[in-house]
Amino acid sequence: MRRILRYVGGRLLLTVPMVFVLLTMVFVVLRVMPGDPVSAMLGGHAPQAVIDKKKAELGLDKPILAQYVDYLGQLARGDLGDSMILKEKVSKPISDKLPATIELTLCGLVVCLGLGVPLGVRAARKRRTGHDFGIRLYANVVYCIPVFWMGLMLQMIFGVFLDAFPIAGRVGSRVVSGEFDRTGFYIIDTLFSGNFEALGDVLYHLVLPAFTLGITLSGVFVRLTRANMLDVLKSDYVLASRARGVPERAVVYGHALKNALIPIITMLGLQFSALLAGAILTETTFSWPGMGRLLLERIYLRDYPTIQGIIVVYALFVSFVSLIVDVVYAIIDPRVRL
Amino acid sequence: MAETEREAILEIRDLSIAYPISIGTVRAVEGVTLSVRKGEVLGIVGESGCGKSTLGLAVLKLLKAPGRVTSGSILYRGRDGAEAADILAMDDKSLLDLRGRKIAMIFQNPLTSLDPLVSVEDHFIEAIKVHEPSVPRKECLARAEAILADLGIEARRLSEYPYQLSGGMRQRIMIGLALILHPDLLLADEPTTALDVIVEAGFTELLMKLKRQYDLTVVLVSHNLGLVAEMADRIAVMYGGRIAELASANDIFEAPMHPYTRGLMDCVPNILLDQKELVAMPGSPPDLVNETPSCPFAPRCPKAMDICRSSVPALKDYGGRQAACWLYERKA
Ligand SMILES: Nc1ncnc2c1ncn2[C@@H]1O[C@H](COP(=O)(O)OP(=O)(O)O)[C@@H](O)[C@H]1O
Ligand code: SF4
Ligand SMILES: [Mg+2]
Repeated sequence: MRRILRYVGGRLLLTVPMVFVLLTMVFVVLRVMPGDPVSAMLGGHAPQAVIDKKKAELGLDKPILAQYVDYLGQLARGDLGDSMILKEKVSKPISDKLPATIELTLCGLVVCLGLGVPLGVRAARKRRTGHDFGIRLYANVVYCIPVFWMGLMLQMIFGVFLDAFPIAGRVGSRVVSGEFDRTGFYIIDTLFSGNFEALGDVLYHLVLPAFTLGITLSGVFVRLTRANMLDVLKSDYVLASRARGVPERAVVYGHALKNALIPIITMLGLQFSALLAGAILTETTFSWPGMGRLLLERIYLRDYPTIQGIIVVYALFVSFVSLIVDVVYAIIDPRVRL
Repeated sequence: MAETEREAILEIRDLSIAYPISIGTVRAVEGVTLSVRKGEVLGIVGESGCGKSTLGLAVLKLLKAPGRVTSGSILYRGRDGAEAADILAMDDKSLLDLRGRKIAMIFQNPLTSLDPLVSVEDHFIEAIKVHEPSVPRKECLARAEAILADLGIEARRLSEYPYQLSGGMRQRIMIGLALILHPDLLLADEPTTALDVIVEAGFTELLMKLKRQYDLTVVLVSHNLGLVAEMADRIAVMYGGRIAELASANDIFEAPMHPYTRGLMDCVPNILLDQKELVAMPGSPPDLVNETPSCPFAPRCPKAMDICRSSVPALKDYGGRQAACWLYERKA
């Protein structure tokens, strides 16, 4: 336990330079990129004097280095700064939208693993049969389909033709919004307030976006699970436990799957950023009020501080998840020395 | 013959096993008939690839894909000779009951035969609970400790994981797991091949001690005639999926009948040089895919005759021992 805590501490310290490097890159790229908040706000035809005045107001007239030093100073005080477009703190829209993104991402992850792992196990156990073939076909097809295209198709089939699921938003208009002030995680909020009708509505709205995200990424996990299971099922300890009379289910799910999960967990850590990237597109397709849509919106407006803030939060999210993955890994595998 | 049958704990009759693969069918075991007598150590020797492991796995009905039994039966009689059931015809439930409780098996590679994510004690708990689910955890551990003591392993190892143990220790734990439920029959498939010579010597001694202590019948499979000679009462020499010769260990050593057995014996001194594979015999084991009606050993046999290349010699009885070779069959 102590070992794990020390490791966690070390990893947390490491995220500081990581975020620093990332931020520097984003900071520079944003300012080198054509366009800036002032022309985004005022349009191309404002008089030069107005533009210059506005730029000076926002501190954009200073050299990039000076701007950067100011920004870091602000960050060091734990302040993400103010939006350059709206009169609000950067942290405000982020804390509003982050729960939506986390909820979508985690549900997508559940769908992804919930489909990918069992299908992979099944394909491995039924190797070279119709099942195996069908599952591998599924994996390859979904692997090749871009997220937004998957989203459009699901919207069309299940939303429009079958009219089975909503295709936009987190919740229906019948549910009062005051319901969700507690955490912003709608599932948790409705659970806590005991409003199961609202919970049902929230889950109902989650189905298509979560499946869009989950199905798209499940292809990788099907293939990985299948390959690992085939390997592990051939191993000597699987044969040895069969020879001790361990029933097939316990062999497959107890010994084999547990071992096969190790590389899957590693892959999960690596694929998490892909999941977030997928979530950004899914949010757009499903008008999901999350950070991804916020990011695209603010990139369009060149709202530098908000963009930077969102990227910091994404980076922290990714490194937090990869930390959890490492700890889980160390708990499962006794050979891992953290 | 009637005498033998009564004492037999396991009777393999006319067993043939094939692996259909893309380029043809590997006939890994061809018409093997063999009984294992209660309380004996039966050695099965032969170069690698001659079908020993396939035969052993078939006894637990654990053939690897795409292996198929194409003919024959494996009769399990048990310690008291009462049960007599064909293993190959058993349903899954009887098979699960047989594996581990009545017939236990240990394998060649101790380094990979324990689940790396499972501690030693959990291996033991699983091995017991699979067959006796009502035994409390505490008693499982007590039994495990007792057997570890017999194996010369300290009880503190129970909480360790396979990666923390040496190869020799892991192999002893494999035996402990195999014997924890006091099975009638232990199949040991190349149990020392992965160990170094010094560990091997200790292991042989341990196995013989446990055999007496647990009143075991042992089938010892090895490509190493020297090892088998040390332990076995009877030896079956396999070649190309068939039994070439079957006799008491004494007879085999004093007067080997089959030219292949003689060839193997010439290789024995090499074992002292820690030679793990038999390479001293010229030529290589037969191609089991392309079946030809001839003695499988004919291409390498110094005594091969015309008849050897045109028909297969049957395993025949020669005064209490058996051999499959035209040298004797013609005279008999
Ligand atoms: N799973 C398998 N698939 C195809 N062929 C196999 C398989 N297992 C064993 N064989 C073949 O069967 C023959 C006997 O193998 P095996 O029983 O392992 O021999 P041994 O244990 O004596 O070395 C070999 O020719 C081997 O190539
Ligand atoms: S049958 Fe012929 S070839 Fe085969 S072992 Fe005997 S003498 Fe040699
Ligand atoms: Mg073998």
